[in-house]
Amino acid sequence: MPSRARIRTRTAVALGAAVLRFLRLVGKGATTLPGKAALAVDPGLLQALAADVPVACVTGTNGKTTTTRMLCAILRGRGRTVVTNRSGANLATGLATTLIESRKRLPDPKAVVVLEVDEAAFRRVAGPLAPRAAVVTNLFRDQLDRYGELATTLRFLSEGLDACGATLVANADDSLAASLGRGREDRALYFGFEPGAMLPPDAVRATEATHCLSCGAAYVYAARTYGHLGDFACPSCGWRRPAPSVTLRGILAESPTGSRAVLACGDEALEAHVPVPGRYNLYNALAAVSAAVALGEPFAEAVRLLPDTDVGFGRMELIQADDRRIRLVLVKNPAGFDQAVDFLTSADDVGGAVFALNDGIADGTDVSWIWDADLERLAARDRVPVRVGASGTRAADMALRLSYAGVPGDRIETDPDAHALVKRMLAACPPGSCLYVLPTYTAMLALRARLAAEFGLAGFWE
Amino acid sequence: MAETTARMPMRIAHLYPDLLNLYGDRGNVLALVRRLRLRGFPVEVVQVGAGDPFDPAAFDLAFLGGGQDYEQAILMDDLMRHKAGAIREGVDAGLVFLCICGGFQLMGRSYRTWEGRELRFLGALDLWTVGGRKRLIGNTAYRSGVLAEAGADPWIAGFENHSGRTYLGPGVTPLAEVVRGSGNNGEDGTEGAVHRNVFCTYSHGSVLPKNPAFADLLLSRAVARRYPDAGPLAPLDDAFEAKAREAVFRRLRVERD
Ligand SMILES: [Zn+2]
Repeated sequence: MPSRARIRTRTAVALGAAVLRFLRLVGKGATTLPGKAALAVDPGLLQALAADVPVACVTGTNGKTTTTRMLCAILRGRGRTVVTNRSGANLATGLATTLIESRKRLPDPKAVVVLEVDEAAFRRVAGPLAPRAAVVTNLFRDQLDRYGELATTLRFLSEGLDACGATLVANADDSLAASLGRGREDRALYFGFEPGAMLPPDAVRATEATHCLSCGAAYVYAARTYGHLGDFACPSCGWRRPAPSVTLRGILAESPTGSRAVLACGDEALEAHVPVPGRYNLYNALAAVSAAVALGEPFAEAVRLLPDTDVGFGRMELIQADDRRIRLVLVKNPAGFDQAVDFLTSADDVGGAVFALNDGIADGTDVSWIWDADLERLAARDRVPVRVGASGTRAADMALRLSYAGVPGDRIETDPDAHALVKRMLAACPPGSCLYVLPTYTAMLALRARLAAEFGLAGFWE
Repeated sequence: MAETTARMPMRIAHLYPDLLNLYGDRGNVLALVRRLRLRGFPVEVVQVGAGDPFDPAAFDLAFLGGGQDYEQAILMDDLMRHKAGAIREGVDAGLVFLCICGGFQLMGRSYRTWEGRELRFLGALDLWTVGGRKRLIGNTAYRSGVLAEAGADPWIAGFENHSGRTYLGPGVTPLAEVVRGSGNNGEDGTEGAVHRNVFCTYSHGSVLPKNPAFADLLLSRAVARRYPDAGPLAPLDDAFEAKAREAVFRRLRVERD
C-alpha cells in the first residue's frame, strides 16, 4: 500500500502536470507555475522525484546556461537520457516544473538530470536534489539589490554544499569560487587556465575581489584572464589559486563562430572546438568537461562532444534575418559586459550595435553597474560601430553612458522600444553584416519573443 | 581658453578605489574628469589605496565611495590609523569632498551595527549611522536647498541602496529634502549632508553624470579654491544628461517647481 508521503507526491505531480498541460495548450511557456502549484501540495517533491537518478547542478554568476548546455551535449553524446531546465527557470519552482514535465523519463536507467540553479536557490535545493556534481562557474558582482553582497552569495553556496555530498567542480582562477573548496579538498575538482595561457597581470583591469577572503591582504597576480580571474596568491596568509586538474593549456584560434584550444587533464592533452565565441566560453567549456569527468565520463569523450552544444537562447545566439544577421549577446553585470564589448570590438562583420538596458527585478533594478563596465574601449577610434542604439526601460541612462564612453552624440539613437529600434537599425545595416544586440535579461526575453515570431525561432522552452 | 593649457592639472584623489567601488561609483569620477576636461582644465586622478600616503594639500577634490561590508572592514585599520588625521585636516582646509553611501557613513562619528556593536568612524562630520535590517532600495528624487542657494537646478535624480540609517547633528546641513525614496534614514525627510566643501549623499552610481548641476557645484568650489580669478564654469551641452534625469523624474511622477 502506498505511503501517505507517496500519495502526496503523486497528487502534487498530477496537479503540476495538469497546470502544465493547460498553460501549454494556451501557448504559454509555463516554466515555473506548474512547479509552484506542485510544491505547494508537496514541499518534498524535488527529493521524491530526483531520488533514484544522478543529478548535476550548475550555479555561479555568469555562464550557468551555456555550461549547462555544454554538459547536456556531452552526456547526450554519451548515450544518456538528459533531463534539463532548458528554459533557464532556475529557482525551485522551475526545477520542479522540469522534473514534473520529464517524470516519465526519470526511471530510465540511462537518465541523468542537469540543472542550472540560481545561486541563492542552491542553498535550499541542494539537500533535496542530492547532486553528485555541483559546478560553480564563477562569482561576479551581480544584482546586488537582490543578494546584498558576494559574501552572502558565498554563504548560500557553502550552505548548499554542506547539505549534499556533491563533488564541487569549481573555477580555480576565481578566488571566490575556489574558496568554496577550502575544507572540502577531498571532494573538490578544480578547472582553470594554465598560467602560460593567461595574460600579463597588468593587461586586465580588475576591481572586484581584490583582497584575500581569509586575511584581508591584497592578492598578488602572476597572470590574469579577465575580471578578477587569474593566478592569484595572498602574500600574507599563503592562500593561493589551487592547482586545477582540468586545464586550458593554450588558445589556438578565435573566431565569431567559436574557439579552438588545447585542454588537458592528467597527462592527456587534446584539441577542443568550443562552438561559442568569447573567452569566457572557454571557461564554460572547462567547467562542462570537468563536470562530465566528475560524473564518470572519460575526459577525451567530453572534449570530443563539446561541438555538439547548441547555445542557450540569447547567449551569442545568431539569428538570420534575410540577408543580414542579428547576434544576441546577453549582458547582466560589468564583467559580462566587458567580455561582450571585447567580442563586439574584435568582430569584423559589425553593421551596428544596440544596447538594451531594462531595470526589472531579473535585470537588477539598479542600473548603475553600466558605469563599472569599460565601455570606453567601444569608442576607441575605428572600432565604433557606425550607429549605436540605446534602448530598454533605461534607454536614456544607456545613451548617457555611451556618450560618456566617447560615442559621438549624433551616432547614438535612443528608443525605449527595443524591437522597433532593432528593426530600424537592421534595415540600415549593410547587407551581409551583423547587428550586435546586447540586452539585459528581460529586454532579451521580450526582444527574442518578437524576433522568434518574425524569423521562425523556437520557443524558449523547447 | 588659451591660458588654461598652461595650467597645472586639477588633481582628484580617488580614495581606496579597489575597495570602495560599489554600484558604479566609477561614473562619478568619470563625470568630474569629463566636465573639467571639456572646459580646458587638465586633470590628474590619483588612486590612493591602503598603505598609500594621503596629503590633502596636494589635491583639489577627494572622492570616497561605498564598498561591501567585507571590503569596508579591510580598509578600516588603514583609514583610522593612517588617513583619518589627513582627511580631517583636508575638511578643515576646505578641500572639496564627495562621499557616497559607505563613504558618507565613514565621514561621520560612528556606526552602530544592528547587533548593537559600536564602531568609531572618522568623526570629520557631525553625523552618525545606525545599521538597519531592511535595505532601502530604489529610484530617488531630491530637492536640494544647497543647489538652489547656488542658483543651480535644485533637483537630483538618483538611486539608493543602503541598510544604514544616518542621522545629522547640528554641525551639518542636509544636502537635500527627499521627494521620492527614503533618504538618510527614512524618517526625517533629509538626504545627504554638507559641511564646508564636503558633500555627502546616499545616491550612488551615476549621481554626478545624471546631475550635472551637482557635479558643477563641486567643480566650481574646487576651481575657485585653486584659481580665485577663474570666474564661473563655462556651460556644457547636457542634452543626454537632461534626458536621463527626465526619465527618472517622469517614472517617479515628480512634479517640479
Ligand atoms: Zn590571506
